[in-house]
Amino acid sequence: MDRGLILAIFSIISGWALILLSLLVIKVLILSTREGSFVYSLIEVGMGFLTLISFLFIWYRLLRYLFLRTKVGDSGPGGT
Amino acid sequence: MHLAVIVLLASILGLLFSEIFHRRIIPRLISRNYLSEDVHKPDRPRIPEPVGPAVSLAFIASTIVLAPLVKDPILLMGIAASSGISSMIGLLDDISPLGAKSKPLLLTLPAFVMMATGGLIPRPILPILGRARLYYVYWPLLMAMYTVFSNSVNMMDALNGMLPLSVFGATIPLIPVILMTGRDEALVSLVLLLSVMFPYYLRNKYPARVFGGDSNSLFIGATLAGISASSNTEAFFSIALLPFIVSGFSLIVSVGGLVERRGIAKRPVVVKDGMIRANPDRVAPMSMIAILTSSKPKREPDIVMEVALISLFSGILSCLTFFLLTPR
Repeated sequence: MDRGLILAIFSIISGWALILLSLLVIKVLILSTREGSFVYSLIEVGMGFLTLISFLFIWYRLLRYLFLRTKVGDSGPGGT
Repeated sequence: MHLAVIVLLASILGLLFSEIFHRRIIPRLISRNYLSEDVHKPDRPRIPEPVGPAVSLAFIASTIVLAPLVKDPILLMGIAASSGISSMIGLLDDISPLGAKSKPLLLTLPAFVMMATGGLIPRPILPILGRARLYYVYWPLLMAMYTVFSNSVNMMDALNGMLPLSVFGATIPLIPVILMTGRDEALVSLVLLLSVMFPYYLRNKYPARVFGGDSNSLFIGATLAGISASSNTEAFFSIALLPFIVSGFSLIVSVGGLVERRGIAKRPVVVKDGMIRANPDRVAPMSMIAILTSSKPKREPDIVMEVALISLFSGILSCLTFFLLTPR
């Protein structure tokens, strides 16, 4: 098993964890807000999306960083 | 009629129709010089393309035969009709390339057909949350899902046999999930899709003798979207299709938005002596093939097998998520 394949499997597991984490945050939001109001439902959906987008951003930056390290052997500033 | 009999009938009909249409369409493509270069081979052979209509027509013809046998024939026909529209959009793109922004927009059209069937319930089953009530946001999400699934599957159609084999790997583990939802139409459509893809896979596997084109990949993506929407398993299909979505999303973000394939300045991979490896250029886009070949060059069939195994892994992960992490 080479580093490329390990990185590909990591991208799938981290993507899956990202989906579950976003849903967990939404569940916490649902439990902590009042039920029945349309405005509250809208806020819940909006915050759910914001959570997903921010997690997606962090996930992509991490994956890109690892990909570049594997591809060009870049160990970052100060690396050996 | 018993579900098992309908499923068996679907698999036989799908195989039969697909084989007949392949045999009819391929000689016509060759005689009319509809041939494309296989750029990953050293001798760059010319291969008949697009064979997509053989797959989509077989699916539609089998659906028409099977529709009277299921509980909700309108929903089954709706899945076929919406997929057929996607195949038409793909065929248009094969003949005369559509713009990078107009194609995703056009791919939302099949969602309207599904909405018109009246068979969709805006209550998707979600991991951790259970059945959600998305009466307002479901419909725009459905349109987005059609375009995301279609484009992700399209972007995965890069190497010989990669698309059909990875779709098999990702969706076969979802059969028990669909069975649990009790939506027979979705199960019949999935079995039908896998059957019509099999004769295509035999001809598209390494070394490929046919290419499906966008008329095939967009059709498959839209069918998967239709199946997931009709069975409320959108989240589980998204997890199973993670290799496709990760690849498509990474490619789009790393090129800075929606860009037509021919308009990408730096290719994600380079080919040398039949070996594929990630483009060493730091600004080259990132895709699943580039990730897999980031540490060493690989042969085309080896990459295809690795993508298929990763897809099978995500399919099993999705199935386990449904049975272990989803309240019912």
